[in-house]
Amino acid sequence: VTRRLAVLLLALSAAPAAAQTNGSVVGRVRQREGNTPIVGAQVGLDGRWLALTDTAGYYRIREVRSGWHLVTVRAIGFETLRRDSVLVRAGQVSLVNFTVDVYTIDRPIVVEAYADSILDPAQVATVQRISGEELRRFPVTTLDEAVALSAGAVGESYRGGRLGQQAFVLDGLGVKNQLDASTGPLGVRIPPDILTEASLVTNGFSARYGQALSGLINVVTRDGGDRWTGRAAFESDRPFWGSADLGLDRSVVSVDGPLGGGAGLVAVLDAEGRLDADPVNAPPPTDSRDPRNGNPTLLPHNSGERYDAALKLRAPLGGPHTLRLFGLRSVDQRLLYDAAYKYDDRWAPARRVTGDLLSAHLQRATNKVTADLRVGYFTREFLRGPLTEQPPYRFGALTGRTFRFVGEDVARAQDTVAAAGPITGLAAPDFTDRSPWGVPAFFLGSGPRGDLAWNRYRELRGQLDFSVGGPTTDVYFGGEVSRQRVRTFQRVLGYLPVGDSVPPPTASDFSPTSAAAYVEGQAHGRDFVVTAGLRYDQFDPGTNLPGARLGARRSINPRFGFSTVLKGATVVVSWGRFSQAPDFQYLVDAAFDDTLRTGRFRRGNPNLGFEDATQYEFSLRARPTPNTTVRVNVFNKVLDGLVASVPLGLDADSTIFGNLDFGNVKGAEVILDRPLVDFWGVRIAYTLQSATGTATNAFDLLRRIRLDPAGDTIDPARVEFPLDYDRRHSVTLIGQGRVPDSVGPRPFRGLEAATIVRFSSGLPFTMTNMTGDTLIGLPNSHRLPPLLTVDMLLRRPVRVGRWRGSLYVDARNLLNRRNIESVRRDTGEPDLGEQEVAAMAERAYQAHPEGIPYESRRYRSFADANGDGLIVGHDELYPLFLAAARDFAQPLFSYGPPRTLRLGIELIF
Amino acid sequence: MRAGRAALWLAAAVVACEHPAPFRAGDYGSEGPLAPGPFARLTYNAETDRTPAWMPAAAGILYSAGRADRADGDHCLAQLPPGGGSIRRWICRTTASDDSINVLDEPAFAADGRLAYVRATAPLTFGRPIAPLAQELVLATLDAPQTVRVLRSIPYTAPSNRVHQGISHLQWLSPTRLAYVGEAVDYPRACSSCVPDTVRTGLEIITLDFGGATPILAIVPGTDSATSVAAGATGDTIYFTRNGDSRVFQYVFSSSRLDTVYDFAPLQNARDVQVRGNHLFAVLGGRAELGGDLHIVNLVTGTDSGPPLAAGGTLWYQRPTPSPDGQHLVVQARMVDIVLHFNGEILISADTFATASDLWLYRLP
Repeated sequence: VTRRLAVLLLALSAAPAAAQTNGSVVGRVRQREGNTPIVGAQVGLDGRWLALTDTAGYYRIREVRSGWHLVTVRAIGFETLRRDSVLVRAGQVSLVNFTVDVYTIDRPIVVEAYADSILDPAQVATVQRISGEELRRFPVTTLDEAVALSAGAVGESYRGGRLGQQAFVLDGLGVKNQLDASTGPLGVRIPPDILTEASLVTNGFSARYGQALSGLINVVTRDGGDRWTGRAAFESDRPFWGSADLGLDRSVVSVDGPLGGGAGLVAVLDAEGRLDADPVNAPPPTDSRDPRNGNPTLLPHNSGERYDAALKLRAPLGGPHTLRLFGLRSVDQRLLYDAAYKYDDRWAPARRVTGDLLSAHLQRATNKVTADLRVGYFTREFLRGPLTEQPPYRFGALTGRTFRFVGEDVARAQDTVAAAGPITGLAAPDFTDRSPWGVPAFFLGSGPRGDLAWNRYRELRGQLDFSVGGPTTDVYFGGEVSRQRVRTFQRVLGYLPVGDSVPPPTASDFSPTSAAAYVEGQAHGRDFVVTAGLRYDQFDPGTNLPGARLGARRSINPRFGFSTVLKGATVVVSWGRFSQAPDFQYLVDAAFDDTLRTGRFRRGNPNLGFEDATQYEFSLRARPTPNTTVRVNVFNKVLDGLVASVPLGLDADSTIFGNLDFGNVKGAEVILDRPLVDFWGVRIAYTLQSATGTATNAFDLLRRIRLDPAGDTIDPARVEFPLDYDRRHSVTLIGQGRVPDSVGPRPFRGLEAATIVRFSSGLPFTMTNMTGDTLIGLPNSHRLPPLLTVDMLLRRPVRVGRWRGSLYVDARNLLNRRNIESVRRDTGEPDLGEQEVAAMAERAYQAHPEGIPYESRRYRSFADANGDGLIVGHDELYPLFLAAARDFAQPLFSYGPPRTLRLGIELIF
Repeated sequence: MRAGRAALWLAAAVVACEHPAPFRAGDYGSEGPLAPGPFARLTYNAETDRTPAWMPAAAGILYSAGRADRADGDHCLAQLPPGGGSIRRWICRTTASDDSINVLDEPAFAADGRLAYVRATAPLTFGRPIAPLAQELVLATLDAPQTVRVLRSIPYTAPSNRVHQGISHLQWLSPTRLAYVGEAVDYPRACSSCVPDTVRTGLEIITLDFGGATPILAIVPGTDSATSVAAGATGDTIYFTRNGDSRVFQYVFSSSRLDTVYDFAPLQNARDVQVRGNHLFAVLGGRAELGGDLHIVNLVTGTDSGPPLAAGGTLWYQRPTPSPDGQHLVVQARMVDIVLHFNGEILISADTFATASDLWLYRLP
């Protein structure tokens, strides 16, 4: 107890590591004989001498990047000691004590290294982290999948928030797709091989960070090591047969090492292709003529390929200065399955998202003050539409070429004049004659739908952060400025000229500016830590946005945390206000999805303000045994001014965006964790949560922004209903194990296994009547069935010559459970229902009752009952329409992915 | 090490494996007619199929087909395999909004594959139009049939000073010369509320030389009241028929000589003439707008025969078109029922009820 208390006191006296990217190394240097402190000893980190011990022998090195480090201590008259492989984690304090001998005496070195984020009261934030090594051990492939293992996460939604309410911080630099984060991906993906660790912070995150309401994804990348190493891996489902082969291939190559002069380099290339990038576990079709019977799980025109390349250079500039340069390029290309183009998929749409990130980080680190200057350039381009030609596959689903879209040049040029006419290369769609049913219904061919969407988001961000350490107080302050440029283009029915029934193309080009400043202090008492911060945010859409009347929007966000140690447990109480600018897509006229509703809308609102959240949280962290931790978080989050669309005027299809919705998320998280120690580990996370939204609140009139000069905005009804990501219960169990090298039969020695079991109650959905124009009950008042998945990864280390490596099998949804992820609003089931299918068929027949002659490619001999060469009349035609309706109404994407397997081979050199 | 080597072999084996292909739409088209035989029906369209033409080297049959599946009543060019089966290709001039009638008709192929045809359009703005608003004789290729050179807008005033409101029986005489029948078109109504009929009257045979920048029209002498024209084996000769006449004439351009090739007397009103090798094809009897009996005359022996009787009723024929090799004949035909009205012993009238015309394929003996 005394020892632990000493450690805690030492940690308390040390500068806290509130910054999310970096940690601290603290410790004490003492002489072995007499245990007396050594004053003025030099302490180095990774070859640089950064600190001196004080009169009590204590030292500290602040703003140490997350990862493995070398700590060295030297003092005149004493031998130099090194402590290799000191793990520093973001936001944590690592304790490294040295006991040194007089130089002339040859005695063993005693080094202590200890870090405990669970009991550290300086750790205010609620952090769930996963290291790069764990990511390799677990059955997860991407950073998103890894973060989704956190308690309170529903995919990329955290603590009941919608998509896009999280911010992404890469090595301390904020990166966010501010254009359409709520509906689109970030655009850049961090290859897992370059990660040191990733963490999800859900409350109390430093005032240094904004642009988020529900969580902060903090990613720390590694620096190049002091010797050249690398990893090459290839994984595929090629060896598996039947429906287990979904056309997956993934290759990863990473190298890192020194460049001389203290510089280091890391380079990673991660490429993945999937013939079915979004496989579904839908039931096979009932009609034997449906060609999907041949391979029900592998959909055509649904392939995807992604390429992620990252390069990082670290260059010491002498003294306390270090420069880090980082570059990342991600390309994600998808062919998109469209049920209407099932039999003529060359006209189905495709999508390409390209992201580039360049950043530079200059750090000046001294014992008292650390300054970080970061500059980042982020660009993201999105394109969706028909392709000029279908790309040929070269290896698996990898094409190795850039998709080209019809009208791509017009979209990039934002040429709304040229786009008012039919877009060259687009032909009108017509009912295809290539379906097994032949009839002109449901299935299209001849031309694409004619939709073309393009947008580009660019951001140049500068960020300056200071941290100043004092005896009992640490202060952090800084700010950031970012200049964005948003360009959008959208055209629908592009094969037709703009006219009465064809809306004109929409385009926008504006340059918002965002800025923020913050100050945060952390004071340490004898057994408590108080953290207080204040953040100022503002954004201005710019004057070149049509309809903009308001200037900059401002938001003040205080944050506060108090933590103390009570009977061996750490208790943290935190309160914070957070705000984020709305997606810029809602500022301009376009057709996108919105926050709480799914209504159609057309008009953007350039006068939108911040979306806000205020969160109260109580956390209890304890370590019942040396290897076991328990965390309990109870939180209440109030969401305010969420962007939603409401009807505008009397036209039901005309709507406008506004900061109109309010919500409340209450919940509790319990996390039991036993890391992989003594060949096994386990982690159980349970979340109980209630997330509700409403379209009004008590301060409605004061808070609502006036939307339209005409003043004819219709107020939404006063109702309260569950938010889209209101998952009441979720349990995540992660088990790990390893067979010792000396135990069991030879093939099993060293075998590693990791299993992830996820169970969660169903998300809410809204039901309507069959015509879709009347709600049944309140919005989101019905529930999907629960989800259960079991994922497993088995890894067997192998050696190839001097190289180490491993073979592994990664299985997702091992039980092949048919999870229902969505249902129809009108039936509450994935299926449309036989009665409505029959009605669909009858309507289609009435629209095309004409006969089908023998020479037509629509002619199907099995339907020509009398064999007269003409399929005519209800008796002969309707069965074809009915079969086509059944085919078309198959609810493929209501189901989650099937069991997927991949065999992996990796070499580490 | 052993495990390592096994891993390398496994890696090689994995890469060598192929992924399965996703499902694909099947091929539901058919080859050949529904009921094969020497005289087989190729099409069963509820709308009219007409003006068939053989593609070069008998690679297929292109014809104008009524689109029963479109509300606007378009006629498109459809391509059939030479032996029948499913339509391989549609050539349409269709607007997505279905707000006009677009008709492609009278296809004719040059030996080099170029395609001449007539296209007409009329808006549906004020209901169903009676006459086309715009009509053109155009030149294109089969690869890009919509990329056209307009050879002649219709109607126009011919060198004879007669106005041609329509053209038919388009024939290639040379790579830069066409021949066709210039027509007058009338839309008479039997009564003020009756649906108007379309009556086409052949006026004369025209040659159109488009070798220069401006196409040049010329009247073929002696072709007054011509109802059909067919090109001879060389472009120097044409065969034609005239309204109310039982004879088939031959005109040689180089010598300006006009001869009678065959006389069907006492039958009257020969039309839709074609000549291939020693065979002459013509339609006689019946009604001009519905067709008549098909006659196949061996010009060497003088024998006159017809196709076998079709099951199911009487066929009236139009536009017999022999294949380039003379082995097959594709012909437009329709089933007819003639109802005689009697009053006691006295015949007072006869009505003809006919289905829409379809294409038939006759393997020539």
